[in-house]
Amino acid sequence: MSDRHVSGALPAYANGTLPPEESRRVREHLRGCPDCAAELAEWELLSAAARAVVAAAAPPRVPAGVWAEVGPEPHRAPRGSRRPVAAISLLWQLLVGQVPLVRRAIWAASAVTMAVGLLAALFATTPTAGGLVLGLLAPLVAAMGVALVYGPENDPGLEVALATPTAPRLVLLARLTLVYGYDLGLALLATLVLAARGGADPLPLISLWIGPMLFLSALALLLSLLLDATAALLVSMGLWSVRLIAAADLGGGRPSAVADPLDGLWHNTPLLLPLAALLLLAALWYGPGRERLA
Amino acid sequence: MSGARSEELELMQRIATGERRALEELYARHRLALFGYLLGTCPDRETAEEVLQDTLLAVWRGAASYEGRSALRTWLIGVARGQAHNTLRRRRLPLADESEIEALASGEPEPEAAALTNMTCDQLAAAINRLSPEHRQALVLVLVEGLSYQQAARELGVPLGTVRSRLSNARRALKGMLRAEEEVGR
Repeated sequence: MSDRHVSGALPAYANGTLPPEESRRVREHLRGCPDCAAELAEWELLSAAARAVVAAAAPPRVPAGVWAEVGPEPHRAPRGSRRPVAAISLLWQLLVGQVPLVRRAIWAASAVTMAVGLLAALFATTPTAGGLVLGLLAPLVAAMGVALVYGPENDPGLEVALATPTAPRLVLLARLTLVYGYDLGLALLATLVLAARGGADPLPLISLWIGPMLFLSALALLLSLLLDATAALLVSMGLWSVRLIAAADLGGGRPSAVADPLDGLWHNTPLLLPLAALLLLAALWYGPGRERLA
Repeated sequence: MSGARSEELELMQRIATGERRALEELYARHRLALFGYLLGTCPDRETAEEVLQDTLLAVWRGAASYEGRSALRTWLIGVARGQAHNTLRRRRLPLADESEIEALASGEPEPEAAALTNMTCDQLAAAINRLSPEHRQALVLVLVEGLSYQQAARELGVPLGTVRSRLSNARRALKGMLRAEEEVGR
């Protein structure tokens, strides 16, 4: 084997791309040939030098010309001013996104129930009596809707919702807002219709149901999260039935030691609202923590 | 998909969403291999830098098309190759100098020359920068990019024998420079 042959193969030997058989031959030749061994040392030094050439020539970062072509950075407003707008936009997207995930039955059932209630109210003797009907019905409708809003047994979309990066609490809040807002809207609409029909002021009618509605819904939500939807429904309906009975009792004109205070409670909006808020906070704090996929 | 590959895919997806820092990250990781390839296929540093910019731009715009089927480096070199071909073809850069092949074939013995190992790495690097493009390309592709003769021949679009002769002549030219410097020093 002549020197020249091995000479030609030395760069490939140095960078390890020689086939194994040739590599072995070169290695054996090198054992006995100081000239080729010296040349190999040169090729190895050349490798280091060539690498230094590349390292020195390569731009250290993405060249500015690239970014110039890419175009200006999308305008970012300073964090402070951007936040509220972005946050609102995100919340809106969240709300809208939750619509298909809420049980469809809730929309229809609420609307139908309120419609029936409204009809009954319209046929009542006085606007006040009609208002009473609404006042008794609206909170129940809302509470039932809310009880059904969140929980694996109700929720075709729950797995999807829990699997997303959005916090479960936020999802819950979004759903709540949707359902409660919807029921609130229905109740308001019914009240306005009733008031218009009877030529009465809607505000007192609204105040009849707004406190109880908030309270009962918050209670139903908490129960639905602590126990389950069925329990929440039963408790809400049970509690409300007691009230209905008491109201009927009162309607009879006889004062009652038990019914009067209870009824007073239900009319005490300034008390009911903070209680409702507390229950809601408790629900938000405690509830979503229990929902975890395996 | 392996962990490394899915990491690469994630990086490319970040680039596809317009995250500039992700492109910087990609460049930091593959800078030497990418630029080494370009120095090995372009005639000079300026052209290599120009093609580098075109390549990075193409990566930025086409990031979504990387699906992780091949290694990211392979994909990047592929993009660089395409850009280099466009640029070099447009400029109709001259073909290989045929005379160097003849010099080797004549079988002339090498003139006595000092060993290159007498030079420091930096001195050699400076000398490499003064070599002709073909010589420098051959050195970079084989010694830095680690291509086989066959692969280098394919990249350069020349016969395998030309790669060998260019390497050999590069070394000869560097020895010539060393000898010239030593003579000046005397």
